[in-house]
Amino acid sequence: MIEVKKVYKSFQNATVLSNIDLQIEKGSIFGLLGSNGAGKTTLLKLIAGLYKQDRGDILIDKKPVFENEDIKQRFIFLTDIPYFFPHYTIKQMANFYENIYPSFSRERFQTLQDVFDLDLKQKIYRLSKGVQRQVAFWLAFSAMPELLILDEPFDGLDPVMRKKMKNIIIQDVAAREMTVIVSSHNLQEVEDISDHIGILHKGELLIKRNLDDLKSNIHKVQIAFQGSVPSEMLQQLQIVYQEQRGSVHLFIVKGNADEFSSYIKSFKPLLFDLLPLTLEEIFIYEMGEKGYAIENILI
Amino acid sequence: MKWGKKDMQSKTSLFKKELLIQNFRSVGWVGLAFLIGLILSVPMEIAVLFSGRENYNEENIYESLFSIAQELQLFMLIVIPVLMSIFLFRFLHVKQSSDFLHSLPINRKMLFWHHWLTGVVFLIVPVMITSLILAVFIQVFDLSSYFRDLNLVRWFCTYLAYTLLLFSIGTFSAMLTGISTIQAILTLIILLFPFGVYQLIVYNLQYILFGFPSGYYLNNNLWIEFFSPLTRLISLEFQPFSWWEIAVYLLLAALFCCISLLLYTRRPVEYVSQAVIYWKLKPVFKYGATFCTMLLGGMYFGIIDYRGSLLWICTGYVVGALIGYFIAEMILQQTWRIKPKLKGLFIYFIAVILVFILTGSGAGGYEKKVPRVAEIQSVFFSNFWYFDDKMTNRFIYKEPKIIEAIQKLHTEIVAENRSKDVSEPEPLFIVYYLKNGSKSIRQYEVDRKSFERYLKEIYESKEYKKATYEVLDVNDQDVEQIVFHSNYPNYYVEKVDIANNSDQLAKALKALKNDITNLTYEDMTDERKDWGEIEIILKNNKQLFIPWKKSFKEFDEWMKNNGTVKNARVTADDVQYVLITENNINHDLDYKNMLKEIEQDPQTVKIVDKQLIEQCLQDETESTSGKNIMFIVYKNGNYEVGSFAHPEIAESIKKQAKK
Repeated sequence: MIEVKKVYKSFQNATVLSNIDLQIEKGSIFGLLGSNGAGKTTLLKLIAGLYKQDRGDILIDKKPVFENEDIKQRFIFLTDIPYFFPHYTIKQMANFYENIYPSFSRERFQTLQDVFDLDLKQKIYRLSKGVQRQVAFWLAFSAMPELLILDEPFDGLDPVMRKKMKNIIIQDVAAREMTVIVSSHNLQEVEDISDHIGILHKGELLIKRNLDDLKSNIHKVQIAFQGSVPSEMLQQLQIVYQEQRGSVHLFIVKGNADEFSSYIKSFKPLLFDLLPLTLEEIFIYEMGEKGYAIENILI
Repeated sequence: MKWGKKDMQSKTSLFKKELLIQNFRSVGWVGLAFLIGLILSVPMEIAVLFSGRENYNEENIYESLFSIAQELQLFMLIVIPVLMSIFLFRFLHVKQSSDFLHSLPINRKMLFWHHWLTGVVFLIVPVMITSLILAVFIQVFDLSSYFRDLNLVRWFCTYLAYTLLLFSIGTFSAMLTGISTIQAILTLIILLFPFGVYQLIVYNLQYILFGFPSGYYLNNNLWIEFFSPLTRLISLEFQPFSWWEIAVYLLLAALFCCISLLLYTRRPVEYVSQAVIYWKLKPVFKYGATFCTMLLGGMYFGIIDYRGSLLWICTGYVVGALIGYFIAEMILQQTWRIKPKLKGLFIYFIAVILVFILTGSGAGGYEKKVPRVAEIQSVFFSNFWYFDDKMTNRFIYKEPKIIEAIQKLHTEIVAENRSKDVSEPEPLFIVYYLKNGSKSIRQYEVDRKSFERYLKEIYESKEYKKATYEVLDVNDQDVEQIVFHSNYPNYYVEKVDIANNSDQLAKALKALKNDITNLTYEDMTDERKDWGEIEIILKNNKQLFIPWKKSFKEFDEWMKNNGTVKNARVTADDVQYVLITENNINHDLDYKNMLKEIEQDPQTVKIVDKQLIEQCLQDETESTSGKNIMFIVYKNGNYEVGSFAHPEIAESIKKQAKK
């Protein structure tokens, strides 16, 4: 389990992160969202033990990460621009990883060669940006980490590769209970793999949610009544947003769907539809509640 | 929720082989270059020099192993270890590599040692290989007789100590900064720091402490080149590293290495590409730079105008401090367009003024201290600092009378403190050797006029003359010949005459000695241009030079009787005519145009009478600031411009010429 407790970090005099509280359970995939400059990379680097927080604690399995070799052996941090030693081939780089990470599996490395289909003797710096990122994934997966920290990992990958990488991540999470933290400025990119989402804005963690809870807790309802909507009903429902098109009313309602549908039905509406929300819509309303316009936070 | 599997940890070992391999790949070339350079510069050179033994020349004895291809060796001694540190610790200065290496499960201590030891191996192994080759060569060629000091072990240890120290200082700089270029500059600054700061402080103390002998400490300190590893190389060939020095270098290397490690474990890696990594060091860097450039500014202003006033020197300090402060700010803020924090600068200046005042006043004891006559064993007194002991010893006086006179002069100087406007500056250097074994050293520049009374007593003393004029101790029979030159300082007319028969020599010498003994203070400080120079060549080939003063009456008499005057010095016969005019001509003109201007001036008086010309020559000074200018036209076509030491003589000559 990863615990981030009341963490503050500033560079010189600029505060980058303030009062970050976060818990990530083992085996979950945490999507960290935020626009450029929100502090995503800094938070990841703090969790990876590269930087030291000014205040607060960052614990993995109850132990501080900074300068802790035992813990660092168990995770891999993939930076937004993958780094390889100059003039190294894939083979040489794999040797390096094998030497550094005790959990590195040569079999896994060889198995994954089918996925990536790259020549081991290639010098990495000659490869394209996207292919270099594939090599970084390849090495990371082969190291069989318990925690994989990915900073904007899908940039520069084509859709097919993106899908493949995501599949491998999901397989590893399912098979080995690997934990994943993945950052992105794009909601759609992490929506399909994350089970938890956190939104970082100007150094503060605005929202951290379980996606399943989030999806089951907010709904779009379309209703039409003969005459006006009963005000008694409106008072009872937790309405986040409403809109009227002719006689059809559109509500965004929070709460248990079963409970409020039967309650609404008791007023005998002419029309009643319960519609799912996209994750983006959910955030628009969630953030709107908190006084933020999501367009400013996620693009 | 258990993550770790214990059995996996057994796979990790203390040394990460692959990390070492990566380091070898990245800096191996530096080690290889070092090895090739060493082999080319020493064993190869020896092989070339000694393979053709028949060309061997007896005089061609080498001082030490450092004498072979010296430039290349010294170059490598400095450049290789610094390069090594720059390339090894480059990973700290590039964001991606810094992030990558610090995310690996290797703690910083281990990362440091992996890198540091790689550097050490690549510095030592090439020297070891070269030493082995040299050991074989020394046997094969039997080199020992061709070197004054052939000590291979010492050569090896010198390389070891020197390169390790420079490498460690380079590493230390790497830890302080996030930019490789700054690392290189910082390394250089640290290497020169003790030497430079010593120079700066000692030079500047003379402005703050009246009487502080900066010249003495700058010229007579034989240890000064030991203050920096870089200046130490100057004498490496003749003065190899002592075992002590090697030990000190190794100790310092270890110290810098430990501090580097300590700094590294606290390094905030996020400040990659910042000039100064540790924000607490920023003020140290900023104000350190400001202080050094301030001293440099004072020194520079002092050098360009040697007699500059205190205000001038202070301007130098302020200008230097401002330049240093702004450059430091530019480096720290990494932009040309800085927003200076004037508050900091203001506080700095207040602090500096306080320090200066405190040093100046707190050292009142220093400025006012004159040893009592009873305490003084002997005293060095001269207008120069001498480098060699022999010359210095000549000017050490032991006679109570002159000691007393010097002490009295010194007391007066101290009482008057800083002399206001020094119109006729007299540099004075005094070293008291006290009876308790200590030394008291002072250096002054005083106004000759204000201290005439005291200077007269010293200058006219027998001891002072004996020290100043070596000729007083010379016996007639030791002299080989005497040469009279007119060409120095009068290079307009070149005349030389020689006296070499024993009768002439004895008479000339006697006249000279008498004249010197009778020299008064006024004669000695006579402004009039010397007639020339008298060179006394002794039988032991030693030469003595005496300025041929116009006040040498007896000597002049002898010369006239001997007929030497016209052969050796400028006389009226060498002169076509002399023009005397009021001193309002443009001195920037060349002589031809000046002559035209003077001729056109109605005030100009032309002197053609031999006797009057002789009078002009007698009173001529080199200075052109007198009331009247004399323009001499020589028969050989040369021109000379001078003026009169005594204005009344000029007037009288003019009057006589007009008659």
